[in-house]
Amino acid sequence: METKPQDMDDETLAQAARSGDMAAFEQLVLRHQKRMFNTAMRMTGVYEDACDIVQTAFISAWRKLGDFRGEARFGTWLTAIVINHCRNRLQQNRGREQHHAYSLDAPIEGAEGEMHHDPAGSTPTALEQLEESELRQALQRCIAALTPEFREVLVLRDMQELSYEEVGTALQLRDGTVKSRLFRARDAVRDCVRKAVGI
Amino acid sequence: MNRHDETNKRLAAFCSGDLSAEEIRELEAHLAECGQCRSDLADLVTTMRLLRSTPEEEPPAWLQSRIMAHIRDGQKQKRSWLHRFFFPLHIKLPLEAMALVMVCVTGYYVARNTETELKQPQQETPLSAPAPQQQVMPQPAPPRTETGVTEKANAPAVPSAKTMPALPELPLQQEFRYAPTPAPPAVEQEQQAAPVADRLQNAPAPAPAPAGAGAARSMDAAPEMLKKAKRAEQSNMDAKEAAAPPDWRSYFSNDKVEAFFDRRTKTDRNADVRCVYRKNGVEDYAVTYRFKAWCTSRQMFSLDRSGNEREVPVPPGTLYESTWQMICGTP
Repeated sequence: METKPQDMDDETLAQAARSGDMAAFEQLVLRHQKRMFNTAMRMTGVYEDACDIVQTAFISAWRKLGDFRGEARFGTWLTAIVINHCRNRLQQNRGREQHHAYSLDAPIEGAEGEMHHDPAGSTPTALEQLEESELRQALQRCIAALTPEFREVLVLRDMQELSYEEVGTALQLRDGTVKSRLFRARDAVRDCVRKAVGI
Repeated sequence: MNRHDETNKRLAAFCSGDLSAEEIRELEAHLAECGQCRSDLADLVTTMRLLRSTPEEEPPAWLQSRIMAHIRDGQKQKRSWLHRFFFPLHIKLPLEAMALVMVCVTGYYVARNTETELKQPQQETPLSAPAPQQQVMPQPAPPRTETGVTEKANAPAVPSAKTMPALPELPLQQEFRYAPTPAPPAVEQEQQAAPVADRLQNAPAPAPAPAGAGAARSMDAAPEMLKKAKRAEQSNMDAKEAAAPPDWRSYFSNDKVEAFFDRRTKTDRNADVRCVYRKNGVEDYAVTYRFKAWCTSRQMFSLDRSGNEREVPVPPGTLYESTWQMICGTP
C-alpha cells in the first residue's frame, strides 16, 4: 500500500522531493510555511517582507534539495535558509533607511522622546501590572531594535522554541555562543520593555 | 564586578534552567537578600512569558500555491544542460558559424562528387541520343612514342612519331562523339566490336591491367593508411575484373584508328581507352590508356603489356566528350 505524503516524515518527503516529486515538496511547504513565516515575520517585522522571504526561501530549498543530506532535521535546514534570506532582506532595508539597532548603553526613543538607560525601579511587578497589549507592542518594538545576531537567537530559541543545538545548527554557531547571545538578548529586551513602558 | 552584578547576569540563564545546581543555590541565596535582583528576575520572567506566548500569525492563504506555482514554472523553463551551456551568445554564435561553414564545405564536396557521378553517364548519352553538331577543335595527338608504352600487336618496336602513320584530318563538321557515323544499334555495335575484341584477345600485346600492380606502385609515397585503403579498393576492382573480362566498346573509328572504351572499368572511376591503329585496314598496333578519377584530376596513364601504369600528360584541352579522339590522335 502506497504511503500518502501526509503520512511521511520530513526526511522521507525531502528524499522524494529531491527526485522530483513535487507533491512531496508541496507537503513540506504545507507543514513548514507557518513556522517559517512567523520566523521571518519576527525577524523583519514586516508582513510583506515575510511573505517574500518565505516564498524565496522555499524556492531556494527546492533548488538546493541536493545539498540536504539529512544530517540536521529538515525544519532546521529550512530555518537556516529563511534566516539567510532574512539577513539579506534586513541588509537591503538597512541600505534604504537608517536603522538604529538597540544598544544596551544607547538612549532609546520612546513615545515621549528620548529616554536614557536607568537602573530598574524598585517595584518588582511593575511590568505585570501593565496591560498585556501595551506590553506586546513594546515587546515587538524592542525585538525589532535588537541587532540581527541577537534577534536571530532570541526568535529561534524563545519564540520558535528550537533547541540550543538546532539554533546552533541553523545559525552555524557554537552552543556557548548561542547561550551567551541569548542571555544578553533577554536582558536587553527586558530593559528595553521597561523603558518603553516608562518604568 | 560585585556579587550583585554577577548574579544579575545569571538571571537569564536561570530563567531557562541553564545553571548548575550550585549556581542555582548561590543565586537563590542572593535573591533572598537583594530586592533589585528579585525585581529584575520578575521582569525577565514576564518578558520571557510574553516572548513565548506571542501569538503566531497565519501565513496568507495564497502563499503555498504561489510557492508551488513558482517551482512548477521553474521546472518548465528548466532547459537542458546543453541549452544552458550554449545560451550565451558569445559561445553560441561562433559555434553556429562553424556549423554553417562545415555544412557549406560538406555540401561543396558532396556536390563535387555528385557532379562526377552525374557526368560519367552523360558520356554514354551520345550512343542513344544524337548530340547536336559540335565543332571540334583539333588537338594534336599525344606523343605516343614519348609516353613509352605503345605496343604493336605483333610485337614490333613501338613506332616513333616519325614512323607513326599520319592520321587524316577529321572534317570540322564531323560529329566528334561517335555521332557522325550514326550510332549503330546495340546489337550491331556488339557485332562490330566482337571481332576487334577477338583480335585483341588473340593478340599477345595488350592485356588488361592485372592485379593493379601499377596502381599500388603509384601509391608508394602515400601514407600507410591511404595505401591500404587504395589497395583494398584496387583489389576490389581487380576481383571484379577477374570475374568478368573487359567489356570493350567501340566509341569511334575511322579507317586509321579505332578507340575502345572499357565501360566496366569506368564504373570504378577509372576509364581505360584502347586505341587500335590500322594500316591499310589491318591492325598495326594498339595502345591502352587509363584515366583515373576521370572528371577531376585528369590523370592519364599508359599501360604496358604487363598492365603497369606510367603516367603521361593529359592532352591539353581534353574534354570528356572528345577524349577518345584526343587520346588516340586526331584523325
